[in-house]
Amino acid sequence: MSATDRSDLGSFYQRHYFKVGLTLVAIIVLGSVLLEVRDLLQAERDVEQIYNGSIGGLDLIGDLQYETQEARRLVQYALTTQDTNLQVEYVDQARNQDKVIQNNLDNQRATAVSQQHLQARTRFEKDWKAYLEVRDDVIDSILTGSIKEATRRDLHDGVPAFDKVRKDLEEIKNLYKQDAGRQVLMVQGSFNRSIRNLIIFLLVTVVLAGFVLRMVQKTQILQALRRSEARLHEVIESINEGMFVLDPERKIELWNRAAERSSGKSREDVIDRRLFEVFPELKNSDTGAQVSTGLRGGQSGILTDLQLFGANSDRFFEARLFPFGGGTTVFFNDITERKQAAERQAKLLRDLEATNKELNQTLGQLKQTQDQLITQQKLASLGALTAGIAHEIKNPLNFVNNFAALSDELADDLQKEFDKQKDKMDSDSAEYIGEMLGDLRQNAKKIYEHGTRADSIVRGMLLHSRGRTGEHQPTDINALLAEYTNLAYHGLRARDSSFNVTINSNYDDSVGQISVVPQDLSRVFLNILNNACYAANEKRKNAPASFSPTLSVQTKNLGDKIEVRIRDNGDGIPSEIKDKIFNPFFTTKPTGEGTGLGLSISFEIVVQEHQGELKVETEPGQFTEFIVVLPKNPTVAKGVHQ
Amino acid sequence: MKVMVVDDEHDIQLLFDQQFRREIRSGQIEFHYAFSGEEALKYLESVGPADLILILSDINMPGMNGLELLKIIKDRFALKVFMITAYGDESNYKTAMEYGADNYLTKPIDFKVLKQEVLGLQES
Repeated sequence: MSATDRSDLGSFYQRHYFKVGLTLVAIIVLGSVLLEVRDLLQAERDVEQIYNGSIGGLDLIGDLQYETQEARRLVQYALTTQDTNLQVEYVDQARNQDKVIQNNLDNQRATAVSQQHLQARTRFEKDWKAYLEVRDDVIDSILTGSIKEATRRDLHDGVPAFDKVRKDLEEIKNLYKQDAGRQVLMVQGSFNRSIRNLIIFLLVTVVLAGFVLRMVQKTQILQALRRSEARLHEVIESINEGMFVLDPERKIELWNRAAERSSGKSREDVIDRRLFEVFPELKNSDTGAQVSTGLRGGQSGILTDLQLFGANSDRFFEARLFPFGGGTTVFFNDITERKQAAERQAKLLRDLEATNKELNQTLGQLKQTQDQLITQQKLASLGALTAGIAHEIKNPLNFVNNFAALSDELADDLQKEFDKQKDKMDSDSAEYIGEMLGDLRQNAKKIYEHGTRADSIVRGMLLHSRGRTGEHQPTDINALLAEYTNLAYHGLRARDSSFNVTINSNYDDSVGQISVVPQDLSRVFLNILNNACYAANEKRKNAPASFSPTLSVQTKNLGDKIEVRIRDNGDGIPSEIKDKIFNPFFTTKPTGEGTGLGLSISFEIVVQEHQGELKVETEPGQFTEFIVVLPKNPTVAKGVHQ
Repeated sequence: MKVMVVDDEHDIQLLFDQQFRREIRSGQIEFHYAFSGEEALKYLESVGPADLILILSDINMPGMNGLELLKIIKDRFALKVFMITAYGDESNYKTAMEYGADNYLTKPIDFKVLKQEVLGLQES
């Protein structure tokens, strides 16, 4: 039955009860009014009867009394007057009075009701007739003039006869009085009864009306309650969340539509069954234990990640428990999608974090690359500049050196000629000229020497800018390093016989061959090795005899890269100049011993030409270690061509 | 033998005259100097190669540079050409070789080497 039907039925009941109540009240009121009317009509009839009977009778009797008295008085007047005309007048009047009385008597007859009345009236009529006979005799005597006879007869017979008549009338009057009194009492009784009935009916009406009103009210309240219940039902059904109610024995008492939907169990399947019967998978499962604990607790609570269809089910539910006196209300929802969404979100977040981390790493690498690029750019522009300067200097230097060489030759020739001719000269002059000639020769030599030095500087500068077109070719790095270590050692030994150094080498055989430009990379190794030997040797000069200059050379396979470490136990590099060692023209060697270009060229070769790294680790007073890292598979070399 | 030296530096004449003093005195070698590529070409066009067997040319000169000159000479005359330059870089070297230069020397000029090359040419 739908909610609308219920509502209609409710209002139908309401109207029905109301009508019944109203009809009842109306019937009662109508009944009482009819009864009242009947009583009143009865009373009216009673009153009418009184008027028609006793009261009317009384009036007529009063009239009759008066009329008989009048008739009597007229006779007495006739007896007492001396005037005969008056006597005749009075007698006529008395006789006329007889007719009035006779009329009255006829009226009396109509009213007579009781036996007593009839007897009394009959007596009166007989006595009146008797009196009239006496009176007629008296009148006859008067009219005949025998007043004395008339008076005597009247006194003798008339007076007692009239007394009888008067007594009879009095008796009838009394009878009427008695009747009237009785009838008044009767009417009074009728009125009293009527009033009593009225009061009773009023009371009954009031009580009934109250009762009906109460009934109507009760019905209305009942209807309101039913509506409220229907509403509650609708609300429960319309809740978009599964809802059910368990009794204390955990039997399902209520199961709304959303519960049917999300559980797939219809109301008929679950009502009055135990929860664990409906969901058999709950037995001996974690979810079952969770639900049992939640229900046993008797407190409101939320249970999440419930698997109502067993641990293998992919559906997850969330339940909120609201215990009350007679059981527990449970709201539950299928949260599978929400959970999946949350998981997706968490995964997205994780991915995002990973991406972020990766981006940060990339950013770090980019920054590093940027730094390298800036350094390279600086070096490149410096290289371009130095190349320009170097070439321009080379031309004048060509003249300086060659003219110096010529001057030297000329001075030699001049010396020879002078030696032949000096005996012919003044000895002082000869000595002076010889001295000047010596200085001239020396100057020419010095010019040549310094010109050559400038040339070597310029040559070094040009090495920077010279576009490197050296071919990458697979090269055994260990062999190359060993060869140049040997070369550096012997080169230095050749220049300085006191030089000595212990060389510890540790080559990783797995380094193998990698693609490099051997002629350029060898310059790098030679530069670093020369510097290392120089540093170790410099320290030896000021160190105690126990100090042993040591050079350690090692290679290592780093997977996609190789690493070359060249370490000396010299004085190390002070931290304030550590940043400058790769700058062109920076040198700590005495003037003339170093161009300050070795490491800057090495940096360019390793970083630009081979996409490697050139780093230095040092501890002042302890050691310096240069680390060359080379990728095994460099991308296409990007030399800086001028 | 006659050798033409092409260089925008005028002092080159002084230097060569002194460096080859003995060879010039003995008539073994004779130098003609041109101070630009255009001047060298003009000379070749007006006088012709004649007894000229070698041209020594700088590369970096105002106007026509040494490499352009080299290309023209090699296209039109059967002459040996040595390039002498301060620019010892690969690209210049490669271009010079491509155009058919017979030698490539860098400044400062090592006259010992140059003398050997030039005189060796004469002998052959």
